Amino acid sequence: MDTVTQCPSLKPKDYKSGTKPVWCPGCGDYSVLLAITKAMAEMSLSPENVALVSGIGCSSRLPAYLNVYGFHAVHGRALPVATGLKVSRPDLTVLAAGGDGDGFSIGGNHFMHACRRNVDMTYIVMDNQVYGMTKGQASPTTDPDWDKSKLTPGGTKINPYYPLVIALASGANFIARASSTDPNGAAKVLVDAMRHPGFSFVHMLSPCVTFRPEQKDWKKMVRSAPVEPTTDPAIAAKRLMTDDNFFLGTLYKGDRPAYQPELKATVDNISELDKGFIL
Amino acid sequence: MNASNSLSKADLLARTLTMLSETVERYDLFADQMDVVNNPEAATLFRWLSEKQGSRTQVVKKLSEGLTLPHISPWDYDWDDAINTEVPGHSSAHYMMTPYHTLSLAIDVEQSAARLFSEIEQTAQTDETKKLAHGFAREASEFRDYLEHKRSEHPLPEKDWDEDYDPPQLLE
Amino acid sequence: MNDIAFSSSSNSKGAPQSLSIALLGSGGSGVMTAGGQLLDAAGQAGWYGMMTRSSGPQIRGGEAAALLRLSPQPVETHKGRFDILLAIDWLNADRFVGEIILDQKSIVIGDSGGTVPEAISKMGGRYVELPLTQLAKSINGGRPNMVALGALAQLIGLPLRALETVLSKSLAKKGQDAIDASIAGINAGAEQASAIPDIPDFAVTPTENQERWSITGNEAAGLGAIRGGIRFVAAYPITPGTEILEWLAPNLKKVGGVLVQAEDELASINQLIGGSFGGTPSLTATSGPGLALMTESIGLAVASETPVVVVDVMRGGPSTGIPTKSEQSDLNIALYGLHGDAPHIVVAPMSIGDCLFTTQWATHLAETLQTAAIVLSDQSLGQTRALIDKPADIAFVSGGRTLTSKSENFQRYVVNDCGVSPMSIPGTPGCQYTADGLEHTPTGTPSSRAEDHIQQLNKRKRKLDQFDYGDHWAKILGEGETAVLTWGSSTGPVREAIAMLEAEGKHVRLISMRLLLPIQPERLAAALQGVEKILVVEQCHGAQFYHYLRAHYDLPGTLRSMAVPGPLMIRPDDVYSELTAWENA
Repeated sequence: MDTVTQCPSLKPKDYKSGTKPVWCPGCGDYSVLLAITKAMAEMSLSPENVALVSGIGCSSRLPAYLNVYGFHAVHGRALPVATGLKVSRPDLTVLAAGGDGDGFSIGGNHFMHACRRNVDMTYIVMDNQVYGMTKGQASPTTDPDWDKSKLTPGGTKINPYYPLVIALASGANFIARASSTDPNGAAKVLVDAMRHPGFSFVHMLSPCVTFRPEQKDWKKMVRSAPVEPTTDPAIAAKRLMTDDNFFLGTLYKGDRPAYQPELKATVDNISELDKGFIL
Repeated sequence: MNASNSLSKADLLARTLTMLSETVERYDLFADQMDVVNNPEAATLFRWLSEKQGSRTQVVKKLSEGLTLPHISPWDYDWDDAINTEVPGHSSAHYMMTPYHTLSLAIDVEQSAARLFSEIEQTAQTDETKKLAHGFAREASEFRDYLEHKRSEHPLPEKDWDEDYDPPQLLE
Repeated sequence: MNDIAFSSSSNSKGAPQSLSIALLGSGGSGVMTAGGQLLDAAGQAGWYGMMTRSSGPQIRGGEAAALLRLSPQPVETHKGRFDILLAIDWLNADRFVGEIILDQKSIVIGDSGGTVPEAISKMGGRYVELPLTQLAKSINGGRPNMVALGALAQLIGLPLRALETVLSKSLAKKGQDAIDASIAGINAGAEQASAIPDIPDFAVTPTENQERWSITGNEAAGLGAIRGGIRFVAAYPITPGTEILEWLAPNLKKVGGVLVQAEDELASINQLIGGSFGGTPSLTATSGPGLALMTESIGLAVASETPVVVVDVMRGGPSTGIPTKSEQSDLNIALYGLHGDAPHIVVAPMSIGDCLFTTQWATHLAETLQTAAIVLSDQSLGQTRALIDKPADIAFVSGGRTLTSKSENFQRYVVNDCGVSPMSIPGTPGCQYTADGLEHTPTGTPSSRAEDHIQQLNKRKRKLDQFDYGDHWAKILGEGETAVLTWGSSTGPVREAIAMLEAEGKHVRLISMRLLLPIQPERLAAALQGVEKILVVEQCHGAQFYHYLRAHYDLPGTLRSMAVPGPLMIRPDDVYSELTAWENA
């Protein structure tokens, strides 16, 4: 992170806005919210110098619950909003957040290009493999035989999307997985992600207690990846291709420079531009 | 939190304070959640639990006066959010939870805390830490007993206590 | 002056005297370059003029035409009729029939040994052959387009020195040999042309040699954006809007701004919203298909009260339509394309030079009123190069981002009389808020309550309705009981048609509306005082402007619609005929 304003006296709860979430009690997103506030407190960020952008969905309600600048945009477009903000205001710490439907389905193209563009920001996708706000339809990460949605009787019969593999192939500079079942561990991953230059992607497992109650078992399935983060994309590719979706930790740390055009005027007066038109 | 051999008094106080204040915040959050989902009974109980934990926090703060407590990063604590340990997990809340469930959740927390402080007491290197941990363990056990007594005043939940006759809401 | 002189010489009181030249050739023959050099040289000599490019669908090669109109007065439209047609070759030249009209007074020039397509020869005109290729071959490095350029200069009385100045500048990078070869070509062409018998006197007296600009509507829009304060642009390339972006990319850099090429239009509009939320005035340029993709998020800009400017350089629609030709058929989507009740700004430049002012004004309005502004330019304005007087340097004081320091009890969407709430930018302590596309309370908290909805709807409408747009809302010229109501690029031909009638002693009022949203019923009613007949002119098959007027305004007297689809531009003669026919009906 290029500029971080230190604000040492703030506690995690000081980063919360006081607005009561609409999430279901028991939802994993509460833990993610906590992890984000813990990470911000650890980094001593000044709330006014942080902005969190989201799209639409349960998890995309997150900005309103934080005491930082926020933008609750339309479905699938968190990343472009965050990109425009960071490119034009490189002094800010910019995060984007949302769910698996928002990020991988309607926003899938932006995800690929945000990885490729490598703007210095952190993208947190809270993955519960289901659309919560529209009452439980399959998402791109849902297993093909999950048959609980009226929209896809008998299951989707489509292979799920592997966000980490796609992030790596598209050029993300930092790839990690964390879980809402361990907010303190998630806070660590988030701090690393925010500190790493370029586009950092954090795949955040966050169970849906309402539409996917069986995900309560995720807490028994997650475990720390028994590896150090690699800077070698080839090793990372092998690691991510064989990943079972429950290894936690930082899996890849690239060294590509972040995309940030210099915003420095080279003319004193804009009337200089007129010269190109004068005959 | 792990019991650690090398805990100094300041370490123990820092960890206990973090644990307690996070528990207070969690009970407040649960109370808010229960407000939002229109479960006033659980909300009231969570507020009461928050107050109780809050006064314990004040006591620990007093004990810490004059000491410089170390900063401990979140990931240096390893309580498991998925289950009720010393800090109740986010996933423990349910929008239809009864007072019985609410108190059970708090009992788990106290039980877990009592066990942890006992372990710390046994492995502590100094009398000061030992004594402190002993006191904390006793407090947790006593509060657990009190909660158990309080819980006995509430009926056991029905078998299908979480059955909702309406489907979830469409929001966006 | 000879009988084949200025096409409008009979109307010398009204429409500008002018000379129209079409330069044709297959791709690779360099007609576009030669046309541009002719225009610039005319400007050097103190003339005004314009040049439009017309071509086939091929990316390289294929048939191409540079269509020029030169005049001692500013011109904003083509006549349709051409005084001179010069073809370096005739391959597929018949595709331009309809666009290039010739009559008995026209001069048609072809390369020696060529055959004029029947579709062209049957329109009339005196045919003259010049050995363009042969002369070019006789010069080391010579090219037929330079020979043609020299011939044209000679025919129209353009001083060769003006051409030499332009060539030396434009060929500077290619070296002295290239310049010498071109000048030799010009001289050879001029000499041949001087041998053509009965050359009419085309010479145009230069006007006062004040500072003159050579600019396209797309470049003008880019400059207007920067003058308006735009420092962030995100965009996806699309014909015919791309040149705005190509001009902005290097020039934004000079003023400390940046252009990001986005992955699609959904990304570009949302990047703008992010840039603007961060406090940087932001703009994109697109065309109809891109605007269609952006509409959801333009609604987000309206709801979240985040200023953005979208320039739509309209082309023939629907769908992919006719990307390289002009039409005014995106009016409906610009006015009504947003879902929900989403008050926003729609403005339209009425000439090439006005693309500068209107884009600058749109930026000012978007910033001041914290909303989305759509600028409806079109292909004919955007891609036509014109010689114009130096545009006025106007500065607006925008007042939208009023909050720069900590404020007590900050409410981002506070309900107040003017409807514009203080907007903090990230970095301002104590004023954090979450911008939201969900309906919200004054603090920005999502709300589905009726009271919040009506308050915010009223506020977003009020801020636009109460603003004083001044005289910029329209251009009103002349008096008369007949009025023509028009907008955008149709203004040029209408204005010239009215000038033609003026020369006959007939008075017609012109009202061209620059501000289309929010509607201005009181202002239009005042402008229409005493009017009994209104002709509504637009380049659109569906008469969208006519229906817009019928829906929102009380219009006096009888109403007539002249709604002409692209790709052929409305010509002054068309409007003149329509008005004359109506008068005689």
